[in-house]
Amino acid sequence: MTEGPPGTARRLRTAFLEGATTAVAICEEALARIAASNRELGAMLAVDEAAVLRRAAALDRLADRRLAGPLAAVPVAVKDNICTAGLATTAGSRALADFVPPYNATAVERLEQAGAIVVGKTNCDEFAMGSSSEHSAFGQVRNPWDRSRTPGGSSGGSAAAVAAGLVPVALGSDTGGSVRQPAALCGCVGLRPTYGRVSRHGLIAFASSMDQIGPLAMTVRDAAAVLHAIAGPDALDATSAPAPVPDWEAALSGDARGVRIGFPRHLLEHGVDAEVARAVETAVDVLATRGAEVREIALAHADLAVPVYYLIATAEASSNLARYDGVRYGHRAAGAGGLRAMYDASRSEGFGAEVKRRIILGTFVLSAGYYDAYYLKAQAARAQVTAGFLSALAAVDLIAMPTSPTPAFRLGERLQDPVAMYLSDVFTVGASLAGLPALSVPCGFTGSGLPVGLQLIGRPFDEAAIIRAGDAYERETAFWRLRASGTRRSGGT
Amino acid sequence: MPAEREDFPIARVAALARLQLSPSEESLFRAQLAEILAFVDRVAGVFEAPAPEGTADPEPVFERPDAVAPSLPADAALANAPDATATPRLVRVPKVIG
Repeated sequence: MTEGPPGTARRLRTAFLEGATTAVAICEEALARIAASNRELGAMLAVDEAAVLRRAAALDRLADRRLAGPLAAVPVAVKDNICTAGLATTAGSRALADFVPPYNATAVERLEQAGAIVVGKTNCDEFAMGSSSEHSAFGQVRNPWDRSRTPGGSSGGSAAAVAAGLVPVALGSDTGGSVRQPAALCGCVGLRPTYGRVSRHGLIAFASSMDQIGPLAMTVRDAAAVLHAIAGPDALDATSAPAPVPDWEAALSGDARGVRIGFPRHLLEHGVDAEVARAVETAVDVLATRGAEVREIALAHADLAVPVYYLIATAEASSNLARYDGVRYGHRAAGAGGLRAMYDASRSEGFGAEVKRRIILGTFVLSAGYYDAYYLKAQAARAQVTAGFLSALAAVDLIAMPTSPTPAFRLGERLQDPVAMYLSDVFTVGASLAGLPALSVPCGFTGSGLPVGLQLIGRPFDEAAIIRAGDAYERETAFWRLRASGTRRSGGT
Repeated sequence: MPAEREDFPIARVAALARLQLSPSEESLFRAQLAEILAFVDRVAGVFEAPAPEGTADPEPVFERPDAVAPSLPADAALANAPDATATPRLVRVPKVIG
């Protein structure tokens, strides 16, 4: 389906630095792959070819290519809820169909400072609300492994773009699992950083207490390199933490010696596809062979995570999306009589069904008479879920579990059943509620050839443990080398 | 108390959220939100006491100096306005009074 196997970000950068290729050639290949595949996949939205090639040519003109940065000449796709100066940023919504940001998100700014080249924006569920990338006003995204199935969501365009080899790395955003779950369903790596690790400046808000930008990549090493580029405090986001940013790539040892892994096997007993459970159990065994010490643990209050998440996230969404009224932000309806009618018409025309559903639920749980029963109790339950994770992580370095209870599901299968769709997030929302870093790594395939993801959850600001273990697992297995077309990627990492 | 499944007040909440729903949307959302509430009700059942609104050990707040910094040029700021005037450079909003 593509013209040839693309390299990892690391390989592309090395080839650029050694003069084996140019940034223009790298970007022309990426643009050609997008042109060849995107009509079918629906992964990409805005692509400004001329701007991409101008930036690539500027890198090629550098007298010393080593000055171009740690991601020199690496093409990157950016989820469409992350602001890119001069490039349309819709968040998958009609409400923002005409929005062209006048500034870059801090994460985008830092990627460009590191030498990366933003080749375009990726499709996503509207305002990042969804688990299938079917809730975009600009068409659904298809899974590169099986076009009749979803890529997961909400960063489904980013995951599909990486899995199909359009780009080696992409940015997504993860509120309740929107980086990890699509990464698992598309067979690539997805990393949710600790809350506060990456600035949210320029990320269109959904649920501000959980939103985080994170990388999707072919390899754990590439994901670590992108995280290193975008992490760190930012004066433009008061929730970005002043924690030191380690060089995760440099610390990769290739093994998991001494890493204590907690495995809550009890979570696999209900509602988990048998092939997914088997792949994850096997993956944990592989980590043990790489030196990890695996022990079974119990994760308290894990069953509360999904309902708590959907109460808190929708409450925050109803507040954050109040600004889309046709005056302050977003689409303005024509011909409505009076200000209030214009507000109502603008919002009703601008938002799709899932966003409306969540705004209504969030408004309800914050409304008089229901606030105590739902929102406050959800906050109390959130504290319990968080305590469950932190208690477990006091005795182990990381927790292993599936990323998704099932492999990629069929397009349309869960669209009319919101609860079934929300349960897609059963393994990812816990780390989101607790603000913990979590990594999804490809760990095998079902009998019908659909990818499965292993999730590793770490302590706050200890991305190092999950990155090291994920890299060790990846080196021991060959899953990352398999492309959606069924051919192997060439070369090493 | 949590709402009964059949009682989701869809019209009232949609009005609070400043959304106009079509009859088919209203019917669909009423049923779906009742199902969602039944699903999330387990939270209401588990904890008897409401959570405190503050904590004894709040998250640290990272502050920055209150310094003057450059702002967006007017043209850039107005480029995304649904309606704007040329002179002076202002966002035009619908008439509110009179």
